[in-house]
Amino acid sequence: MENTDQVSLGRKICLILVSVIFLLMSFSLMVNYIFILILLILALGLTIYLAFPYLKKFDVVSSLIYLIPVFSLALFYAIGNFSRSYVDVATCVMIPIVMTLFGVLGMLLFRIPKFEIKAVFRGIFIGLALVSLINMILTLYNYGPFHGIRYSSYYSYYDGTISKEGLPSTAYALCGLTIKQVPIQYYLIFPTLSLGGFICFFVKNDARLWEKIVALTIGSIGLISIIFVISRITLFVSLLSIIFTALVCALFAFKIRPSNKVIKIVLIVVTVLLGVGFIFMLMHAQGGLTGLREFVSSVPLLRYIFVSNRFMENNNLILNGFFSPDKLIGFPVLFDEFYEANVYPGYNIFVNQFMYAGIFGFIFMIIIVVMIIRSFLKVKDLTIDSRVNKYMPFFFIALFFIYSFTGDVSYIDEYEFARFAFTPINPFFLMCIMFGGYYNALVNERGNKNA
Amino acid sequence: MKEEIRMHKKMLLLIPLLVLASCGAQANNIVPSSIDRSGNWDDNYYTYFDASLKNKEVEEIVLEKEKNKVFTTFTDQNFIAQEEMGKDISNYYNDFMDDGFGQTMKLSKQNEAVKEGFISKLFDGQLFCHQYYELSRVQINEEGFSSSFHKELESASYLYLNFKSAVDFKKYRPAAHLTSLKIHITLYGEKNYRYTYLLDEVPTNAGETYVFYGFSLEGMDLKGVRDFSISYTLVDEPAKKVDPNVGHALLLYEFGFKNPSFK
Repeated sequence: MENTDQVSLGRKICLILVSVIFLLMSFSLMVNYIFILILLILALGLTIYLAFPYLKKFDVVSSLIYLIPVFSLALFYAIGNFSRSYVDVATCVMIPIVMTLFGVLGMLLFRIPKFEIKAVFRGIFIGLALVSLINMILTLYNYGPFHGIRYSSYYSYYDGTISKEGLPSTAYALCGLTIKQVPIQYYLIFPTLSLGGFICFFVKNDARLWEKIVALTIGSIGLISIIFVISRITLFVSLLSIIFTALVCALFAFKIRPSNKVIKIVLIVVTVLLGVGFIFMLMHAQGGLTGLREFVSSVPLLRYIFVSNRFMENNNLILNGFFSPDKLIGFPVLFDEFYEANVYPGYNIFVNQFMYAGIFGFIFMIIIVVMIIRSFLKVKDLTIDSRVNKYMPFFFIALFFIYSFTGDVSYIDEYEFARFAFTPINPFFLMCIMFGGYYNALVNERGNKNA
Repeated sequence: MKEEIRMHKKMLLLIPLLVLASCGAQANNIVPSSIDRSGNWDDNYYTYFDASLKNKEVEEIVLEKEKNKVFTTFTDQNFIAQEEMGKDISNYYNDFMDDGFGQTMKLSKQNEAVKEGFISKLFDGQLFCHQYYELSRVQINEEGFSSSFHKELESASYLYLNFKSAVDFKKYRPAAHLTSLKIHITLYGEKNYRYTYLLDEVPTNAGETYVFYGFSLEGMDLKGVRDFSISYTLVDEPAKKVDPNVGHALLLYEFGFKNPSFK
């Protein structure tokens, strides 16, 4: 009896620890990597202690299959030109350790008996909704509602300098303990990710009423936060995520369960489109192919997508260096206006991989994404876990990556890169690593049982 | 069902909260793009003047050169300054250098709150144009503008303002000439004082000739000072005799204090 109580208490503490890590990161409070590491080791220690009796069949090989790409990606961040020019050595050493440990944490969490990952999500989503609410109130306080529309041709100033983009591209947010004016992409991270709460509402066979209400509230706060700052930019950044959430909710609401074949076809189509789009973008960004550039400039739609919009400017600069040998492991950061070729992160997490970690970073990122998708397809057919546990992590990961196509998740301050838990490694990406580990372990452990 | 209704009622509470929150506190700090980009002289005036400050009772103090240690400089040959200023002013022309007057004296160093908004141009330590034109200056008409330090100024040794006098040199190109004007700097605190000084022979449209003006705050009542305004009165502007409609402005580059302390 004591043992069960102990485990139950341990389970609660564990999920509180994990939720707290991400909550603190959402508030940009964990900019010091040592702080994260300490909390992470505590959570890991507790997890190992609780899961130890069930670790006998721990499949090291299959765990490595997930951890190796994660560790490699992390390593390339750490040794990449970007980190070496922007980050201190201690943090560089931390990155591979922290990222890999998050993967391990994910793998071990589900092994704790009766541990429900949806409880972790509750903590994360409540944190996201709280941050969204605070930021929304701050933005409303400073600019009033719908400032994206009312002030569409206005500019703001900071320290005597006019903002590069207009007022609709900014909002106010709480960063750590200070209230700052931030790029709207940063403001939108939290409400966009908290849209995942809506998905929770539909997994109704598992959820009790109050859980559904919490899910609805979280999603609503997110949606309202987005609506109040609506502008051309907001739509560009968040619309895809909103459409994705609505689509998935519709699938749940009408109990449509697409077969694996259908999902695979959709994924293949999306991958091909993205792949072709990416190659096109890559080719276009190279300076030498003038014929292609002329073609793109002559077609208005293509010009709008690949050239004229503010998001592509940095993307093009980064991809321009794709084939340069000196950019093999990323771009150095040059801030001083007296240096040339000042390249800032683009608004796309995949393009940014080149900047942070070079081509190898990009390859390992793709590998991780493919593994997660593959794991999800296997996990979704397992009858063993509840639907929330099975679907929630994937939707969160998917929402994150969809958001990352349009809004970067690393900027806080236009004038300096604020340390949002360090620029290439943001808390939501770490969550993806953790949940990816969770999926990978689920597939390998319980997939074998089911077979 | 009851729980759902209760929850919905809680959600409704959010609405008045949001309405109350939506006061647009930064509305004065953001400006339309035309103020810096239109190329039209008349669009570039910054005229925000807080209504509550405009109506306040203000005591006028007419400064005296010797008594209030007023200092001005028109050209570096015509440098008139107190000894105290002389030490500070030695690096006046190096406003980008870390040890220059601008970067060491700028108000944003003592008070980060003034970094926000359009008026932050006056506190960034950049004393001169450096070919940034409208982007580096605040263009005001005689009615001037008001702003806030966002914190209470407790004390300071002296106050300074670096500016140029200009008439619309895009529409109408008068040669450099001399203007006479009274400059008013008002500090709003427990009591409000408008410090006025007559500046004779201010070079106008004189290219890169700036006016560095200031005075000692010794003996002045600075209790509770949080807000300020700057305005002026044209006494004699020769260009207006040629064209009464020509726009005159003071182009303000930097405003600050020596040794300010904020609460």
